[in-house]
Amino acid sequence: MKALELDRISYTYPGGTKALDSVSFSVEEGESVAILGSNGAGKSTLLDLLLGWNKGKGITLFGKDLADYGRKELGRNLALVPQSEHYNFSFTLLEYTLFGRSPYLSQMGTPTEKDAEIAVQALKDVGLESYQDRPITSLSGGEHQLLLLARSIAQQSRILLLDEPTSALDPANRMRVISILKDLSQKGKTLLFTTHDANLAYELATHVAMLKKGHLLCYGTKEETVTSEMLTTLYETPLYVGSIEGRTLIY
Amino acid sequence: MKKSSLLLLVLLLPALLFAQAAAESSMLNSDYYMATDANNRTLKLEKKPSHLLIAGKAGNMPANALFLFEEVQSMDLTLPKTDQGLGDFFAFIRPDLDQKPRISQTASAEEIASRNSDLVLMKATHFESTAKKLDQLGIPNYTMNLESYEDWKAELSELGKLLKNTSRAQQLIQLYETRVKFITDRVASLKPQDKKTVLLLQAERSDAAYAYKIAPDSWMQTWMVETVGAIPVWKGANKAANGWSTVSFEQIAAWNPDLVILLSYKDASDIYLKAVQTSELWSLLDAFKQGNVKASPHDMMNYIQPVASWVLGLQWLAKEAYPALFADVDMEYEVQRFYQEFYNIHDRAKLEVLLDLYRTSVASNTL
Amino acid sequence: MNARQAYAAEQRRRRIRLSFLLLITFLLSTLFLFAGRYPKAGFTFPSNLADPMVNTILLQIRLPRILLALLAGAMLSASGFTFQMLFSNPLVEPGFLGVSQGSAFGAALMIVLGTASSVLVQVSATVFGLGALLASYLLAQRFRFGGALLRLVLSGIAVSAIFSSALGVVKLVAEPTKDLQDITFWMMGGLWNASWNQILSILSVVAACLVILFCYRWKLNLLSLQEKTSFSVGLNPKRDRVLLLVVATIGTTLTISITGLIGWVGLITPHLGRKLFGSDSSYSFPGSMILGSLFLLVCDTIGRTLLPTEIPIGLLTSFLGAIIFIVILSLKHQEGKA
Repeated sequence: MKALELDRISYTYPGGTKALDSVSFSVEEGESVAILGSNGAGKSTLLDLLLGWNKGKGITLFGKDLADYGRKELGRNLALVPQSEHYNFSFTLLEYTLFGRSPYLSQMGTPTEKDAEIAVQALKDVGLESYQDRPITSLSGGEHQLLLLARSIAQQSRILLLDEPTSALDPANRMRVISILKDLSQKGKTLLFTTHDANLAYELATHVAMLKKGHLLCYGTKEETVTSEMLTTLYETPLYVGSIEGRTLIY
Repeated sequence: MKKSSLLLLVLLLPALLFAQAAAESSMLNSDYYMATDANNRTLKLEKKPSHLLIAGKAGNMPANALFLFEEVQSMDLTLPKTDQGLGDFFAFIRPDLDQKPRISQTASAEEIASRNSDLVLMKATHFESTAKKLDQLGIPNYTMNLESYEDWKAELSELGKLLKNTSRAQQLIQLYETRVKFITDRVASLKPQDKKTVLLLQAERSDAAYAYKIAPDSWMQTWMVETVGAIPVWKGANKAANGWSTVSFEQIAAWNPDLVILLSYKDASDIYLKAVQTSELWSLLDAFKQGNVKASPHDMMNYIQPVASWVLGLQWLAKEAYPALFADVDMEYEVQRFYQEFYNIHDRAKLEVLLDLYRTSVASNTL
Repeated sequence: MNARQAYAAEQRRRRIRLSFLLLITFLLSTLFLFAGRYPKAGFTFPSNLADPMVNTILLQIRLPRILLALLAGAMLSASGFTFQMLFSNPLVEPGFLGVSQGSAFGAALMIVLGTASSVLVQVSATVFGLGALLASYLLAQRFRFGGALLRLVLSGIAVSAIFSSALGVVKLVAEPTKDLQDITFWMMGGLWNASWNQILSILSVVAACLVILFCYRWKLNLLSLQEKTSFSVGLNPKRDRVLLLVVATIGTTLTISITGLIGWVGLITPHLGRKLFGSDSSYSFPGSMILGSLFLLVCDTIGRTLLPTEIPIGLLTSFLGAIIFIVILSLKHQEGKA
């Protein structure tokens, strides 16, 4: 059974803008998919559809139509790491991470000790465990991103959706996030992330979906898709895939 | 002519002229209709006012004082709303008042000016908002307080000067003084331990909720209770000097007065008495057990407020507080006598209407 | 002690603190039962409870009044807290968003149009309270400038002002001897007329509202985040927000239909609650409720005991509320550090 199947996904915003046109591909469990494209290509729209936030037809999750999932059930299968989050209240890091346990709590319930354990482990996974009692308002930008990641790890979902996971990060934090995500991928999590950074796509993903103006330009393994020709077509600007010290670099 | 005579003539001439002028101005002064109002302004009218207008809120108070002078009955009058909820006294004694629309209580100075009156009367509380503006427009206006016994005496006297009917003013003051003295003389001999404690409450209600309020210390209501030789238990309690303040039942019970009087300026007072009579809480009060919770008397206006009939309220209070001491006072007779002497109402039918209203107001008190 | 144990210990501490607050509230309620103006001002512990006057005063006047203070305090705090979480903004209370003015208008309209019957007035107050809320929310969406907070506050001010002037018009045309009196009465409110009848008329609905809100005490945290985030962890934020707003507004308007407009409680106690119990609403929410009950209890007891005349409760809550607010703001220690 495939983790995710997209069958001719189209989406038009209420205002009339057609954001996606007949996008189809499928993802096996354990794969990491980079959704690559320039701004306005429809990446975020696709992510919103996968999340169930915008209603679309033709998405199948673990063999079941997305629309048939209950809220909590979906939450146990899909987690989202958003690009950013607002904080108006000073929750501690642990309290915040515990929010990820929401799909496992009873209707009126509050987190249990077991949930706390999972949350603590999630914080350890991202390296923030020593800050567990600090208020989230005291975190730096990079630490915020790690916290968002921790929350979605605590959610223990099979699929992780990430919206521009490294766009706002400095090189050190970027490396840290990539390393954590690779780790998660090795443990069997399915990752789908949007990015406009082809290098990130190559570093982290196993497969790449290229979106251009709402159309799927190509889908396949990164070796197949991340070529100079494809990238140049995608961004309409000359790009080269090269190799330095054995590592692939796009410039 | 000798030089000295000429000099004398020259010196005398200005004196003669001056004397002439002095004689002229003193004549003019006495011809004026002149009085000092509550804001200490002196109003001088050349002719007797014949188109009067009463402006603003609490218009019934200056109207009250005005109607004590017979000649007002035939003047052209514009009045604001004077009905407190129990009927309009002025339309009652002078029905043609209803043929003309009343002026709004919140009419602007312009609106008042447009009515072309030669005298505008109002409460002193409207000095800033209305009187000053009328001054600017050149409209003669006159303010009155009428909040205390002293006010009534002084201002009736001034009103008499304004209408050039000082004899009537004196007469009215005499009438008040006699009645008040009658009471104060009798209660002068009361020993402190024999004095009754009285609680005056203004009652209000909404749906099933009742509120009871006490008057400020300086108001006439408090003075009335003291003048009849009783002790106003609430004195000192009302920290708001400008208005009635709510008290809880607990406080009423803590005061434990000998006599409780419920009054309303908007409804018939006895509806509050009837509500209290079915109340479990009130039934525990000593005053209740002794039958000393009473509704305040009224006809078209409640007697326990600074309107002309306040003196009836005083007499009634005296009789309720010290029934034995004032056994010879017949309230129905007093009500009739009041309207005859103060308002010159001699029409039997009219007097009967007023008496009937009074009787009804106190009917529940003897139950 | 490892991290998990530390967390569990903190939770336990908070539970103890909560119980402690509850205990204090209970003790003070009992103590204040013996405070009043009869037979003399202040505290009197009657040695003879057989005195019918004392008995009646205790049971018919003080007890319902104390219970009303506790109930109203809890409800106003709960709804203030809920609003703050749902609008993700610690400076909001229902009054800011026009709910109080809307209810006042609704009540006045019903009084003038028809009847001063409590049920219809309460219903009208609730409907217009909800309407004001909706209006504020929709109006805020239409603004093109300023952040979310500014837009909300501005639209709340606008909606409040509209209902305020509408109320003024109603008062102008109200028949002065009866209707206007009823309106003023309703608006002034105060707890001084608390009776068993009054309490029972709102008790079931207000208690239901409190229970519903209480059940959401942890989810409130999530509802303060972006909708997409709370959606992604399995919530139904749109539905939950509407439900909670409606429930909070109904509870508030019913309460103020008896007590009149009481400000500051819904603003202050959530802050105090967060100071004592941290930002996690699963403890700070019930904590705020109890603090609200305590606050209103203290204010009302002062209002009915200090002077022979009743001190309007709004005066006391603003005065004490402002002082507490200043104290909270000046304290340097961070929120969340319990």
